[in-house]
Amino acid sequence: MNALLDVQDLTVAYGADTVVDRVSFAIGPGECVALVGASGSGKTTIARVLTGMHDTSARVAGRAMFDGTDLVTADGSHWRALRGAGIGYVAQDPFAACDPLRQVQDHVAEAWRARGLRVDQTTILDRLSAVGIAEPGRQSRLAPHCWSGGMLQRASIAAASAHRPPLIVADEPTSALDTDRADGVLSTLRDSGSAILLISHDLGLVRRHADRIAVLDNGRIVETCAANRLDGAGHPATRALLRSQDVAVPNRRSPGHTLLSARDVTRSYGPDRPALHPVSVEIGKGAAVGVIGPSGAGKSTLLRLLAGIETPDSGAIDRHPDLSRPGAIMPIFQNASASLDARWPVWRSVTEPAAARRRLPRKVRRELAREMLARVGLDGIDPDARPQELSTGQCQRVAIARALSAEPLLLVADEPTSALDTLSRRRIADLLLEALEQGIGVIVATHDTWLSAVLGCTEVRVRAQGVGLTEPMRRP
Amino acid sequence: MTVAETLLSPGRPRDPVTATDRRFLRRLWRHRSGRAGLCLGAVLLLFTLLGAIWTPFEPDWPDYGAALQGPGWPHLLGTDVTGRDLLSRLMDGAWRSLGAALAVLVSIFAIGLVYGTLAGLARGVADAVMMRFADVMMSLPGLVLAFAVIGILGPGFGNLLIALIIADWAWYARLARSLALSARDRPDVIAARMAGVPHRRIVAGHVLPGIALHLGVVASLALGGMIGAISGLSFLGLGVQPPHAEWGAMLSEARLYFVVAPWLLWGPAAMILLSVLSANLISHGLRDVLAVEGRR
Repeated sequence: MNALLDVQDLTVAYGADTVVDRVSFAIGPGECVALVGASGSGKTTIARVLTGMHDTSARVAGRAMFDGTDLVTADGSHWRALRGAGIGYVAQDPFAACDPLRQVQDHVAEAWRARGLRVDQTTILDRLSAVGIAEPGRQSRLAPHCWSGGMLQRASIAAASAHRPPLIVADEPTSALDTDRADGVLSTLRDSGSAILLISHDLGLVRRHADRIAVLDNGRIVETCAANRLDGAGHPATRALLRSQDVAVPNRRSPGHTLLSARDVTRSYGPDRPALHPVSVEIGKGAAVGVIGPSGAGKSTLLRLLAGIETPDSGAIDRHPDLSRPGAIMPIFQNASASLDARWPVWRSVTEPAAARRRLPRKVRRELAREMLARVGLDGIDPDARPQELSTGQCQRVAIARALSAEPLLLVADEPTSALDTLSRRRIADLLLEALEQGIGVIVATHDTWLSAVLGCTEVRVRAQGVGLTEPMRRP
Repeated sequence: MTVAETLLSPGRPRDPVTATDRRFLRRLWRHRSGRAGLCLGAVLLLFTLLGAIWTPFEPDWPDYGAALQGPGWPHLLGTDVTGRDLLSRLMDGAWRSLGAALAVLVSIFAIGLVYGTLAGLARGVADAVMMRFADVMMSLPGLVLAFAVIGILGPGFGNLLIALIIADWAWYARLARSLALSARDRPDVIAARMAGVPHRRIVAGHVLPGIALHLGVVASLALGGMIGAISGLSFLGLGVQPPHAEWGAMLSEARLYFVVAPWLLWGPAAMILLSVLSANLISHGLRDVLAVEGRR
């Protein structure tokens, strides 16, 4: 096989910790191979090694032949010749990849300048319009923050493919984007004509764009198959990734009596700073409501109003009398680890609401915590663990366990999955579904269309104020 | 690990303080600087306690026959101009220097913590009034304020400590207030509030410990300065009155004879140095341990 990139037994270790274990794969010219896997499976490490950006403390063994050069042993001068001309790179977060003080056209021009070449304005504009940027002349003079995430990622693709490199390595190029835009960006990437090594945790997305998919689990490739054969894949890690994408439309329960209804509530922080334009919400027992809208439109503000943390400037909120009990409305936050007291062991956080109602001896609380943690699938963890010993996904489950231990009637979740990978996201969604089954109402503010589809949310849109050039971003 | 090694190895990687060590003190103990500071602090504490119950010679008793003897036997560190044993005076003066600095710090720590947290949690008019008062206190230079207080109360060791407390508490109050303000909107505090946890238990469980730890780091960093301030004011004759021993006062006396009897300086200078070193090592450890604890 005449491979463009041929990786043989690539092994990467940090100290005693083997992160990538004898990984072999090959990419042919023009082919798109996706490396997928959960967080920590070693995907990014492979991308780093193949672009020469891995940590110097890493011990790398094996071979990675590209155009007659072994990338594992390549030195600085090799890399200077290879980067851009031989191997292009597209980063995860386009905003982080761009200097906020420079114009977008400077970032594209950098691809030429870095190699000591001069480039004229027309070439840049041509390249930008080739990746689907409308009005490139006007847009390219704006600063990166004025661009949307999807557009800016396209501009980075234009920069990465400036010298038509035979291979482009793209590390989670779409994890900061919502699904529609992710598809657009990946199509652009494929249109560049280069072979692509696509790193992603999102199986649903890569199966639509890649030719072949290699599934990584704990640093090893456990399964390789053609993208269209993915459904026949049998490895548990692959199945878990596949399941995390499913949208089983929930049986629409008929919602119970109305728990809370808000009519035309508004809120502003100061005369020129309206945080929320009039919006109305109604939620019943066991029903899910999704608050949808662009960043800064007031989703979090609306949740705080509904939860009673703040009072609206105008409009009315009717709460069912049952909701006046403490703990009847419980919050779930975006930043899961910050929502738990860092000094407290998790058993203490989880049982805090229960202990608020009546004094409980420590032994009872620990027992209760064990029970609640088992309910959210965390029976394996030590109840004495501190939040910083847990992953973000585990912290979010602890936070849900805490919310449930208050025996709530209504859960108010602000972007509960935005910081999580797809597997953790799936688990959180399952827990929220369970809560719905038990008749708990759930209000969730999210950019994540997948989450609101899975929960079967009735959508409430909040309107953006001012000029919103930025589209919804789902931060990784 | 000796103190010197700790100080001479700034480039080494951070001590492996693992999050699995649950107990705060145990984590501090596992931290290299923290442990060095704790050990040194324990030695100083023993020295102070011993000095309070026993000294080799009567510390304030002159023995003109033995004036200005160099280090040797029976006066291990030598004697001063009136023949008093220096080691005995160092031991006797330890609680006045070290104990007084700790007492002042603990006082301003407690006053600042309560005052600032109350202001931060109260918000509104009460907060504004309390903090403007604190601002007034902060706008006066610390030592000048201390002079003024001593001028009103009269010189004396107790009044010196009161003066230092009055001069410094407002800084801690301001820090505590800003931490309390941000604590109100912390997700864990909001969750506790919505779960119906009583207000005082939220304050005691979530808010105060975090603020206290932060203030603790600041206070431990200030210990060196505080010993210096007490020594300095005693040096000026505003604190400990003769014939009582205090490290700063001893330095003050020693400066007159340091050409003929340099050993008079060694003891008190070394004790102040070691105390400051111990406090700084502990605060260095505290800072790292706190960083492991997360964002507060």
